[in-house]
Amino acid sequence: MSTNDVIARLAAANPIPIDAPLHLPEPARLPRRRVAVAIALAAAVAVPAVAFAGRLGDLLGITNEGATVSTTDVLPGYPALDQAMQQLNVGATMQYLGTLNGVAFYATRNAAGDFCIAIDRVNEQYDKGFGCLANADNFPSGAVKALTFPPAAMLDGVAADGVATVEALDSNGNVLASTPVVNNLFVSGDQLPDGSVAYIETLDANGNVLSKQPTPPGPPSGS
Amino acid sequence: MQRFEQIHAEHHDAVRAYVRRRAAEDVVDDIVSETFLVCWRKLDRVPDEALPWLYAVARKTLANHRRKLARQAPLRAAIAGEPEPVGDGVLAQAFGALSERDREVLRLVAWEGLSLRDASVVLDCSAVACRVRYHRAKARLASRLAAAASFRPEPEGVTR
Repeated sequence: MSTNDVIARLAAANPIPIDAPLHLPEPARLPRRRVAVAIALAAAVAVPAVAFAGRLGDLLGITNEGATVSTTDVLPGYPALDQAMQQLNVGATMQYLGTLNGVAFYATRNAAGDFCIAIDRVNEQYDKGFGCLANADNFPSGAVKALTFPPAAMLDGVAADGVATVEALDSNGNVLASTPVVNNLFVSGDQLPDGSVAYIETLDANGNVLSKQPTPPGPPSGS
Repeated sequence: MQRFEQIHAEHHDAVRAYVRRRAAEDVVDDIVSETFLVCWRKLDRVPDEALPWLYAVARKTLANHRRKLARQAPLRAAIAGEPEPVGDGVLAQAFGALSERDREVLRLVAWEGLSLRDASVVLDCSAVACRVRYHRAKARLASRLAAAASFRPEPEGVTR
C-alpha cells in the first residue's frame, strides 16, 4: 500500500464525510533509510509469533497470568471495540489481570502473537479501550517493558516483571508523572500534558533504569 | 458586520464538521459558537482565506475545552468523544496509536481536505515543517498498517 493509499483509506473512513476532493500532497520524499526501516518493521512483526508458538504455557510473558474470562464479557456493549477485537483475531478468552485504582485490565495474545490489552475504567462511561501491540518489539522485551494506554495520554498500563516504577518523561528528560507497579499493573490516574510525553521509562526497585521507550509504543486505542 | 455574516454563512458548516470530527456531539455547538465569537472579536485579523484561520481557532478552543474537562474529570478526556475512523477497525487501531500531533495533520488533509499550506495555518507552523510532519505521520500510519496486513488475514468486509 502506498502512503497516498493510506490517506485515501483514511479519507474513506471520515466520520463526517466531505464533498470536496482531496488535496493529496506530492509523494513523500523520504530518505531511503526511513523506507527501509518501515519494511523491516513489517517483516520483523512475525518474530514474536514464532516465539509465541514455543511458549504457549507462558501466554503473557509476565508473572501476573490473571484469571481466564470470556472475551464476550470484556467491554460488552461497545461495538467499535468488539469489531477491533474480531479484526485483530483475539480468541475466545482473555486474562483478567486485576483492577487497580478503578481500572480493570484484561490481556491476551492474538493469533499473531501480539500482546493485546483491554482496559475498563469501571466507573466511567467512555474510558474503555482495546488494542494490540503490532510492533517489531513485542511486549515484554528488552526494549518494551511497559505498555501505556492510551499511549502517551495516560500513565496507565501493564509492565514487565522486575519493573517497580513507570515514569513519563518529556523530551528534556523531565519527569512528568511517576507511578508504582503493582502485580504488573500501573495506574497513575493523571492526564499527561497533550503532546509532551517523549519517553516512557521503567525502573527497578533500586531505581535503576530498565528501559527508555520513545512514545508510543502502546497498543493502538480501540475507542 | 457584513463580513462576519459572510464568513459565518460560508464556513459555519465546515467549522462544525471540523469540530464534530474531534469532539463529542454534546459540546460541538458550544465549541463552534466560541469559535465564531473569537472570529467576531478579531474580525480585523481574519485573513481573506478565512477557513484555515477558523480551524486554528476551533483547534485552540477544543484544546481549552479538553484542559477544562481534564481538570474536572481527569480520566475522561483521554478517549471520550473523539470520533475514530469509521468502518475500518484495523485503520482505527493504527490511527489511534499515533500521537495527537500525527493524527491532527493527517485529519486535516484526509478529513478536512486541506492543502499542506492551509494545514500549516491551522497548526501554526511553517509550510515546510507541516510538510515534514505530514510525511512522517503518513509513513508511521503506513508502517502500522503494513505490519498488521503482513501478518493478519484480511478480515471480510474491510475496505482497502
